[in-house]
Amino acid sequence: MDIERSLSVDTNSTCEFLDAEGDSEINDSETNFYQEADHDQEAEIQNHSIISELRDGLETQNATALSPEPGQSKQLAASAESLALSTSTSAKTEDSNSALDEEHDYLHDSVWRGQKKHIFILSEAGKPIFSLHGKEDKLATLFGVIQALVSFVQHSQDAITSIHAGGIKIAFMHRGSLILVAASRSNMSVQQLQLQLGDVYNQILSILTYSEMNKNFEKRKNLDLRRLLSGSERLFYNLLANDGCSTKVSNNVFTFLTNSIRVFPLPTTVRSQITSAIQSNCSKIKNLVFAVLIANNKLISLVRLKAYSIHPADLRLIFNLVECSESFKSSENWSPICLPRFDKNGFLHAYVSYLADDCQACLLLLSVDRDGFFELKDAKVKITEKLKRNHCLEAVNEELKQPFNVKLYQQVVGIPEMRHFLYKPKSTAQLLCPMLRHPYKSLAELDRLEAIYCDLLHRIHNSVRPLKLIYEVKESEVVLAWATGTYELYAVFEPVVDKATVIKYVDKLIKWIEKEYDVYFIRNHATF
Amino acid sequence: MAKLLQRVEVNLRSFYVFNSSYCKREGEEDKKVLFYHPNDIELNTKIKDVGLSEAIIHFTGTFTSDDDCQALHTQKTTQLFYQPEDKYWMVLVLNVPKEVRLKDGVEVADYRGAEICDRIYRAILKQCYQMFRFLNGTFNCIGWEEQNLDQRRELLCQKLQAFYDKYLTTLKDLAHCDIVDMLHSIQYMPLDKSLFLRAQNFRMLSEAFPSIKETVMLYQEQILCGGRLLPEDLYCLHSYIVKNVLKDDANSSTIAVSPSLKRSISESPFDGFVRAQLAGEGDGQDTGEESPLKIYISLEKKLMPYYMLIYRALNITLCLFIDAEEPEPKQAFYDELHAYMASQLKALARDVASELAKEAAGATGHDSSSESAPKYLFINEQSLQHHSNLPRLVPQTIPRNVMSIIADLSHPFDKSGLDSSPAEELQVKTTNDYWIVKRCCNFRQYYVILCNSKATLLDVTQEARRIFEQELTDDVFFDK
Repeated sequence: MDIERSLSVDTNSTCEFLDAEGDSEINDSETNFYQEADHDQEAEIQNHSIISELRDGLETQNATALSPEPGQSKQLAASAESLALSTSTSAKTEDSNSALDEEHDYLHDSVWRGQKKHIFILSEAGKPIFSLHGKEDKLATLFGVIQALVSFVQHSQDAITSIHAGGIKIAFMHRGSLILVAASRSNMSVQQLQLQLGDVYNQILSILTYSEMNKNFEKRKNLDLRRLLSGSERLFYNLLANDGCSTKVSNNVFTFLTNSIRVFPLPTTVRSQITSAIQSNCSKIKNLVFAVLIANNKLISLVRLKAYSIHPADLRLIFNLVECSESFKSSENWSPICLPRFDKNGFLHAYVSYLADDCQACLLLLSVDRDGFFELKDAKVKITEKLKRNHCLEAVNEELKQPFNVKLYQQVVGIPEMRHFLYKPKSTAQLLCPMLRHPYKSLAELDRLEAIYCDLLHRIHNSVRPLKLIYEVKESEVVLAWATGTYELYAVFEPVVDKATVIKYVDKLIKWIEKEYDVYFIRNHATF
Repeated sequence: MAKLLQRVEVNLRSFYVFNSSYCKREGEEDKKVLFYHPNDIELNTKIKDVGLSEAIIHFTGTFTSDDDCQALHTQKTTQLFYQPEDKYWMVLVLNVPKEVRLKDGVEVADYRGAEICDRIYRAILKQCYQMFRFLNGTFNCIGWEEQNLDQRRELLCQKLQAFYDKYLTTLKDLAHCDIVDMLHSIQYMPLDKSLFLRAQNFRMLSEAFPSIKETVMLYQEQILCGGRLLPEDLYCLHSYIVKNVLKDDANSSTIAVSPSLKRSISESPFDGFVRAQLAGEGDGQDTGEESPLKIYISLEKKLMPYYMLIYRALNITLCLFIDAEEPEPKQAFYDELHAYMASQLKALARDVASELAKEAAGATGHDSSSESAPKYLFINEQSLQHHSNLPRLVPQTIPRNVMSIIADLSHPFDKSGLDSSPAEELQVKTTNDYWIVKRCCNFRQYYVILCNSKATLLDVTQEARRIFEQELTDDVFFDK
């Protein structure tokens, strides 16, 4: 196979896209946890494009089918925009009463000032792009100040990273032509805030691609990037709603804190049937890079081209896109998407469709062929038929119907003193956590839980003084964090439980997870 | 792993004091800068640095009205902010530790800002102010009688310059600052009850000599009784005595002993009243009678100036505080005091020495300061006392990460919190197999450090309990 050959040359430089924890470099993953940012920057310098290489391979093999001319990406950018517009059914309405706050002075508005978290995105030239709260063009002065601070410090060959004041942390990130700032009153560390800013930055690239964004900024330093991003605001709001400042009680915040994704629990036989259905119907399709099946914000199956994998940060972007695009439910979609950790300079073409009206699992087929729609549509139909025949859809629906996974629930109920936990194997960037129960059902209590985990994760993954174990008796709970060679476990217990009991329960939980491992985790992602 | 070529520890880049309200119109920006170290730097750079600090303070004001900007981190520096008095800001700028590595034949600098524990250095910055205030009073009260603002500013600048030029040179090596520097706590000397009462009795001096408002007694570097001094004042006093009086035992150039008092005891080179000549004060004016040292402490809830007389007898140092509103004490007063207390104080000093010798002889059996023995640190948040066997003079015996983790774990105790923080217990294991056990309750924090890679959570719990029981028997620490 020509594609295979042209790929094999490149395997070395691309293995960084394998699972986060499996980074090719020899550094231990602990110190590597927060160094993702540096990786990105290195990759930016390398500036290689996997997608164009894949296309080149495609071209030699099938010269007449495609002619990727340089102007193509522009066209794609345009279509990305239209996609965003067409699917913005769930766009945020909070700030739509703009007529009212035409003259609003946010800087003297105590509600605005007191927000738990602010996110600002601006261009290097100081042009407002996004503000989580308030209309960004009413905050032009503030954006100007941020830009001035950043460039002032930059002037002395330095870079501003954070500011700390009573009860608030402000983290800065300067990437490419963009400046991203997070101001937070939560317990998140500066590193965790930067992780979140990294996700936001990736979201922008996912819509525009790095090269396209840069080309535009090169042409006009003063560019208003909002024009290119308009219609996709909902993606940012949804991405950022995934933490305590939202009104949703969900486990979502923990995936970005642990830089991982969650897996849809399924019996091993069902999962392997699903995977092989995808494999058998897709392996003949040239130019298909990834097939991703997700449900309820969790991964059911991922099938990939040999030598490539999707970074968890990229998968989170896919989850985010699906979660806030209601329109995908009513019709199939064909849209360009950039996965920045895979290749930040090019678009993949995604065929997105729910499997069936009666099965809310969403299939994404990501190809480098922009004319592959019908071929992929066919594949999806066949996959659905196959899954219907062998009752896999039923199994997925069965699981979807439950408010939570039954076996996991029973396990958790079996340890009544344990309130919540996070379990992440070292070998995969996947996270297992049980449903939130009392007392973490309320937003205020969830906030506290989030603060506890932020604190534990920060101390375990501290870049200069990491820890292996933390056992802490707090006023309202007992917490444990344990990083071993094979997994990380963070658990929260009732405040009255004693140490020996905690150890016993943790032991029980670990044994159970090891036994049920393949239900809750995917060891290796299959290839076509 | 890239080869480490060089490591530069954290060091002082600059330190400045500014007050924006001294700049009344454009072009007068230099007036904001009241003190800047190092001095031999372009005025423009000073103004720019202050300008950035102002901008950062202003920027944080966008989100919080507490006016409580604490730190700015850049890739290469950590800048700590402190506003001790309204509109007066102090900024301490540190160069973060830097490691130069060889990566693919190219030297790459790795800035390790995350190693810096902000709290420690903010505490040091705070102490920079407290010490100035101890010896000079508040910024605001300097030159208060002066009507002309410019002259008032000039006076303050001179005071700051005189004080900080010297103070900054005596600052402890920043790379070795740890939690004890952060806490500003003091080691008290545990004494048996009768000796302690005898020491306390010296506070009765104020009955015989009504002008004496308070007394503080030290034995070597430890406090025997601290009187009514606030912990932070006592800390200043303690560090002043240690730095300026005791240290000079070896180097007597700045210390003048009253010639009228004879040296009779050989153990301590000085005996009698110690008159320190502060740089810039009374220097060269040999009028026979020097002014006693004036210091500022709050005995009656208000910062007031007092004359501080320092009297030494063997290893005891006695500090006497006299209301500075009254006229300076005369030589006759010194002589009378000396006659009154010299022999008693010497006798007490001898008894304390023999008591210590006895204890030392009894303790030779188990040497708790040996390297492998568990280390502990106990802190009383209210009195700022601490009790510890951490080998602070040889910092390498406990890895840097362990000391930093303790600093991370300790919660700051602010005067705002009248309630004790809730009782907590915490155990952590570091990646280099050190265990740290922390307990806190009732305004006390206890830390035990163990090094044992094999130990389990339960083993460590037991061992820590044993140490708590063994060491927490000290009356002074618990009863005061």
